[in-house]
Amino acid sequence: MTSLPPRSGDGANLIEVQNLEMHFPVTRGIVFQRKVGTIKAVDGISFAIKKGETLGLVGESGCGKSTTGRAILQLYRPTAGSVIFEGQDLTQLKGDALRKMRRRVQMIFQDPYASLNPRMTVGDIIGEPIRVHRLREGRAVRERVEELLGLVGLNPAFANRYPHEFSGGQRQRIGIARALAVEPQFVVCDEPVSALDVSIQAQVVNLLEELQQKLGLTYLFIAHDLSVVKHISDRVAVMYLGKMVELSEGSKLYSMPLHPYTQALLSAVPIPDPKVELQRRRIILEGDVPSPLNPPSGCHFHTRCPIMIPKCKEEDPPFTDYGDGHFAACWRARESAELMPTVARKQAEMLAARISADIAKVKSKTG
Amino acid sequence: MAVSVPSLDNLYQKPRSLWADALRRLSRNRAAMLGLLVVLFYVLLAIFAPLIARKNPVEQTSGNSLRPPVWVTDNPKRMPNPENLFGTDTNGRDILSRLIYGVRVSLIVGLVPQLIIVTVGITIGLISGFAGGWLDNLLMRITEIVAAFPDLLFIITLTVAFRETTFGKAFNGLLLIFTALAAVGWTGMARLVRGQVLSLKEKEFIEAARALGIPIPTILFRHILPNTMAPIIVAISFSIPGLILAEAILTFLGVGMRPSVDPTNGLPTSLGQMMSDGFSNLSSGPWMLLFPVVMISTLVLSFTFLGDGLRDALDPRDSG
Ligand SMILES: Nc1ncnc2c1ncn2[C@@H]1O[C@H](COP(=O)(O)OP(=O)(O)OP(=O)(O)O)[C@@H](O)[C@H]1O
Ligand SMILES: [Mg+2]
Repeated sequence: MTSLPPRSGDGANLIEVQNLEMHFPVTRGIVFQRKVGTIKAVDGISFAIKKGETLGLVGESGCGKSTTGRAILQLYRPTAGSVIFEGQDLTQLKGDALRKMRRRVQMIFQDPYASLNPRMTVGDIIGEPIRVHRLREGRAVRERVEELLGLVGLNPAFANRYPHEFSGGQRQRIGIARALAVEPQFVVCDEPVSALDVSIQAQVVNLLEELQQKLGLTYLFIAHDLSVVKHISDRVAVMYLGKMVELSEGSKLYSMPLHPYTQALLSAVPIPDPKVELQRRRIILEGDVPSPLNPPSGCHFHTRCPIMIPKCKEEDPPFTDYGDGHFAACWRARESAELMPTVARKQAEMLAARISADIAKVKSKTG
Repeated sequence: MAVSVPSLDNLYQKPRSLWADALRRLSRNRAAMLGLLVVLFYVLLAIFAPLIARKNPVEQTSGNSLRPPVWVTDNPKRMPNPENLFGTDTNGRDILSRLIYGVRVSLIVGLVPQLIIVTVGITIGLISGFAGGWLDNLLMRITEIVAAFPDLLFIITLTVAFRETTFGKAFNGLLLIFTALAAVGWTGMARLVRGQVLSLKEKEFIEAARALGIPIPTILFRHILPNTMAPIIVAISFSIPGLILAEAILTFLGVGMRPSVDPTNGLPTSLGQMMSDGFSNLSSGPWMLLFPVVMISTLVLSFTFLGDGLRDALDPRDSG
């Protein structure tokens, strides 16, 4: 069941992920480990990201978003599939070649407290990768560190301080400076604002957007709900239990979601309008998320799907293009829009209108 | 874009490393500082023993045996000798001088095997925790087997077996004691370090280092090792008194250090030996037992106070 990776016609892809699989063995026993099962954290997903684009990746906790990011960066070695970055398959790289490649693809982590070495100064944290990759030598390293601190909006005089002297938002900026120290082209942002105060979240998202424009970065932006990714993403992908269920341009995903899971997620997005909030109806999904150890047969979502048909239990729906690069993996994708409860549909439309208005506002401000 | 500054006075403060913070917290802990002071005092005694001791610790003076300490003057038949502040033993040797040299041996026994324990423990713990897989499995099984030995019994067997060899006689038998103590003592340290490495390995800053292409030796020695130091230091300060007591027990039982009569020997006696001597002369010269017991108790207690203080000061949970 291989589906072609969604390619967009225009523009070159910076990164192409094909049938990526990350299965973790579950073992028992102390001396002789028996394999008793497999966690299919990522179970065959394909997508491409264009140069300079931001792809948002959303889904509930445990659906495999972080694992996808880590498998792309080869922090986990994928069990199958390929990750083509500038014509090179990262999954085939080893040793020094892989280490050299690492500076082209970077990650920003979720937890600003756990992601900085508490025993190193900020200057060493940011300077170390510069020295390791010999991007600068001697005194120039220090200058570059200060330049990077300025770039992420921190006072360069902070270089000799320790992480615990900073707030969460400031630490996240240090983490961003560290990722940028190696001059990457592609950055996986793994829920970079989830751990921050709401008041600071917007600042960090804006910083990431600014840096993207200045440095021509390409992002995979992971978040666990649609509202966080709506501003920053050009396209949005939705994951459920190790599979990608929908992928499309942001505005289209919000106005015309094809997959019932996306519809449910959208209905949960809060709308900052009391009138709408009053009549809002959430599509409540029944049951819990099944375990990625022994996921359901056929379509993984069928156990909770409100529009399930018998076929869904047996066959895994392919990830198909329903026009203009709007991909979905659902047997009833063509009819799902009509089957969607009217209230929820109205809500989605309102949300989409709101987002495009927001985006227009932001664009007119910056442009 | 606005430059975010926590607060202006913060900018002019000196940067505070976690170590500096811990030191500050430690210096506020009275018991720990008292412990540190006593330990330092004993360390100075040990280093400068030849300068401080007014008598040679093995020099025997006839007619001067079993003199009580100078302040004990209630027995007209046995008056103290003003030259021997803490009295003399059955052979007329000056107890104070022997105590000073005894502390020297106790501290060496606390530190030298500790060095071996720390080196072996850190090496095995780091490899085991970082490599994982079959290597971890193998090393941990070996560690478990060694840890399962009954410590004291094993050490006694070892010291008895090698006692009459040149190796067993080196440094008045101390080398053999070091080896025996280290041979069974490293397992706790190895497990501690392994546990630390296992939990650190999952931390995001280690993942970040890997993502940045930092070479593995650098990750091990710059990122993982410094973060295991705090619990290692605490473990060391708790394990030193254990070693000191172990030597005392072994020597008391007669399988530890050998007494020396050579006046040029730098390690002539240990507190354990003095306790053993004192025990057999308890009725005629109780001070012979009293002083080494007081000495070893204060030494052990001070290390424990210091260890407690270090544990509180280095606890990462309230770093801030
Ligand atoms: N190293 C691992 N070994 C075994 N299982 C793992 C490992 N890493 C992740 N998993 C499992 O894979 C699944 C997906 O985890 P992942 O961290 O990718 O989820 P996520 O979508 O990022 O969730 P969250 O929003 O909570 O960050 C989970 O069930 C998790 O338990
Ligand atoms: Mg995650």
